[in-house]
Amino acid sequence: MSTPHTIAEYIKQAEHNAEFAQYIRDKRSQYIDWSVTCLFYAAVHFVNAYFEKFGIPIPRRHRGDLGAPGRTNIVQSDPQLSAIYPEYRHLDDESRDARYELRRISEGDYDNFLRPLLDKISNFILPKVTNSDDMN
Amino acid sequence: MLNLREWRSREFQTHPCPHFYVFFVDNREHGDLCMTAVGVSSADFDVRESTAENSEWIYPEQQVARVLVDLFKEIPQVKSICAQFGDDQITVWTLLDSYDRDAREKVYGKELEVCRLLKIHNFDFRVTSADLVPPEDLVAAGSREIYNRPS
Repeated sequence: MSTPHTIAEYIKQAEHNAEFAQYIRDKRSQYIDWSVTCLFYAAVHFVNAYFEKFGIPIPRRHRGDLGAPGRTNIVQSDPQLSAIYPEYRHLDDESRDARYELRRISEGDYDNFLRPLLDKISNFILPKVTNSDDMN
Repeated sequence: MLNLREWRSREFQTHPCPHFYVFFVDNREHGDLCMTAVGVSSADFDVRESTAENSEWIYPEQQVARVLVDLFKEIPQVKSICAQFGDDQITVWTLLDSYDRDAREKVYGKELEVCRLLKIHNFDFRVTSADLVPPEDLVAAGSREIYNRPS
């Protein structure tokens, strides 16, 4: 299945979301609960870049069903991506806790735990998806 | 190694449900428990009828629940496990006794183990703490509490 976006576009969107998370943390910390959602959606687009690189159809849903696995299910089952499953799941759960359970996060949470999770994901995926051909 | 019960399929064939799971032991995969890619919902019938330990056979989702409980309860911080078996998705809530990120990480490892063991990847796993999401709320919303750690 082809997608309308390139690897470079997914990476650009991931970095865009990560920058917004950092902006909230640095400049608008009263809204820091939303920073973890931005980090999760940055992770989503890094994973999309990986899918695009390796010809994996990009799901429309985070969690799928028996006929069509969702993005999280693929991260879980892909032999390479499962290495970052814990980091991806942390951001998934922490963002859902912030949005739905009104869980408060602190700047310390962001600096010492949440942001490093995204850094691990990007450091894992970027070397696998970036080369001069893909990024042009 | 989990103690997995053998399956008897005849009971499922006469059931009015349109879909059902079939489990089998795949000797090519070191005797791992495998599952076909169709499923039945607990919403379609009452699974509690055959929960007795000496029952000759158990429903597939009871087997899944047993695997979930056996693996997740190994983590001491796991206080409750709730599950909802839908037509094509299994939602699993693992509730910890506090907001413990180290324990969450251990649960994520168990999630991978569950998927490897059952060869199914249509779970919707969710981990949080019982003070944020009480098990009673999940039960009221249609989940079953399949494990509660005795205090």
